[in-house]
Amino acid sequence: MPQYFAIIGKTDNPVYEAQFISTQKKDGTQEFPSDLKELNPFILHASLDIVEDLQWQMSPISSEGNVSVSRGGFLRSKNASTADNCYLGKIDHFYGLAITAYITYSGMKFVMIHGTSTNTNEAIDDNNCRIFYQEVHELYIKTLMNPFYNASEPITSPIFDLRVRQLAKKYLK
Amino acid sequence: MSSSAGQQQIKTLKVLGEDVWKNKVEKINSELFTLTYGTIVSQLCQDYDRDFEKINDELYKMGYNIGVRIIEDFLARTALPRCTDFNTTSEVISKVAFKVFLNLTPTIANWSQSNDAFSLIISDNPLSDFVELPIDAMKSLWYSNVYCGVLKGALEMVQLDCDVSFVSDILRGDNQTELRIKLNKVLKDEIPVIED
Amino acid sequence: MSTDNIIYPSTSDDSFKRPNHGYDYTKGAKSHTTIESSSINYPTKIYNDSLVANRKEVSLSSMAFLFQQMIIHFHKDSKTVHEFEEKLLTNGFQIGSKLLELLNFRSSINPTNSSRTSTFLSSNTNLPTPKMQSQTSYDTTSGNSSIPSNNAVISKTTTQNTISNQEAASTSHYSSIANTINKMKRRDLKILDILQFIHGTLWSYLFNHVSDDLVKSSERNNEYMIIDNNPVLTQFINNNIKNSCNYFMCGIINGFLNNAAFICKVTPHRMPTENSDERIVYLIKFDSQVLERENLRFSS
Repeated sequence: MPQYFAIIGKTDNPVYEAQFISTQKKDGTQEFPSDLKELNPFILHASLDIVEDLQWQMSPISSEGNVSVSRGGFLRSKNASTADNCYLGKIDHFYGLAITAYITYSGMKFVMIHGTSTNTNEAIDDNNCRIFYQEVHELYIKTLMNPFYNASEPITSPIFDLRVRQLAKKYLK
Repeated sequence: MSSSAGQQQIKTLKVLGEDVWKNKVEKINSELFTLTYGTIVSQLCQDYDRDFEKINDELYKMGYNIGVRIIEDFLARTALPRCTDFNTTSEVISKVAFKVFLNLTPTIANWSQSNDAFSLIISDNPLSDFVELPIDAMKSLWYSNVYCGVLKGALEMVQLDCDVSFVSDILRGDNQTELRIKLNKVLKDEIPVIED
Repeated sequence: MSTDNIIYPSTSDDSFKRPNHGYDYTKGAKSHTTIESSSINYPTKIYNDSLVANRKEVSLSSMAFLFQQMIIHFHKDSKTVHEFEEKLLTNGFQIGSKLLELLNFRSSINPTNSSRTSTFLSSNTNLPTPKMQSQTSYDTTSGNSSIPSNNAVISKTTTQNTISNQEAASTSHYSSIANTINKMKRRDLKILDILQFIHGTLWSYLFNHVSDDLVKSSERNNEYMIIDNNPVLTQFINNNIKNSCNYFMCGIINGFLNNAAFICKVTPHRMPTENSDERIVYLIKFDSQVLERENLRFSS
């Protein structure tokens, strides 16, 4: 399953983008189909509205793990007011492509499109996805602490790129 | 290289350094220190348009201004008498001065043949926490150049005219951070000009 | 990817001309990194070091002298007092934005639901090294605690790590805490929550004690005040520019709040009382959009 991952800044500027190709399957499901590939940034940016709306909700994730359409909803988990509101989980979909998101403390949006394989209906592994986002968050903070990096600049460090790809290999299939 | 009396002296200095650090020094979170220095360097990069030679000079000057004042603070806290030889000076700098101000104990190494120059190897430099130099800075910027200025200024106030400069820096990709101090001459009763 | 036949975007930023092995915003997402094929060794320190608080300290004198030199340098470059204060504000802002992410992240490591505990930030007690963090006291509600697994090595490594090929750069080489975190600390959505975080955690981190008071103005809805009876950074500064120098601390608070999307203006005011002569009040004026958002989203 390929993924398209991006870090978007507060003025909707791309800070980092990457495409993760799965190397396991060789049946044509490694990459995004070439006609859809160019659409990825559009799909991603279209979901930003949803992210910004969820940014200020008290409990963006209901107990089912998916975003409830109504605000809060009846099925809130017990600790709703203390639940994690950084990881938003699956927030949108586009013709079978799922989009997950994560917001950092300074409002940077980590968004990812999960390509699906045509054969099976693989659900996104929520826990691994969350850990992936948290690890990238840690890398992001390390980048931010550098006095030579100004906020919202594109992250051009090849080490960052390498580490993100290693994480993708480890946590995303 | 040092006799047993010398060893004893080194030990006393070490104990003194640790004692002053523990009891007579008000402390503050080192990360605030690191971050403040970081924004200073960042601001300098902007002001001087990434002319790293100029930035090195400016950091040196700032260090010098700190050095000429910090020596008073140092002598007041430690009440150390005048050093008898350069060897002792090196020990005082390493075991007491760095300890009291930065909680560091750099190692002394690479004494020159004529005993007038030595190196300080600094491990765990607090200023370079979280820092990674951009590619263009790697060749010419000495990030912690302020240390050179501080040592130059402080030593000048105790009548030692020295040249202090960086030899290597972890941030630049070298194995260690090394500072070289070379004694030029002992000043006799001159009042050094304090640059602005 | 061959470099011929590419029509470069017309931009005044010519970083695209430099060979770049990482992300390039003018070219967009790449499918693979070229670092494996390149022979350049990239040393890295920051991505290998841990973000866990290491409780290092330096002497107050060092900080005071550095601060003083910063003041002198900025003062020299500024033509007006206002410009000087702006410079201090901007520099403090940078620090504040970094601390927002860093401190919140560190709060997530310690499994506590309260963002106000500062036990792991205090450097006065003889706390064990970060590796044994489970020994420090913290609040947990049942079922939420997560003790870092033994596999996560929490240590500060400052050795430079050259990456010559991918094998050497496997993830086991460096300490990563994020995969031990069960639940990230919540982003603060309400004004009071984030102000409490500043009053408690941020102040403890900077000065080893919580701020002396957090007050809401009775006259205006959008004004809050944080009180510091003995401002540490400016205690040695001359009285005539002392208040201007407090703008640095204002910048830190401002950066912290603005980046968390609580747009505000922060100004320092000297208000001595009988007990404390140097008492400073940091006045935080929130933008109207913040209050509007608070009313719309969180009014009960």
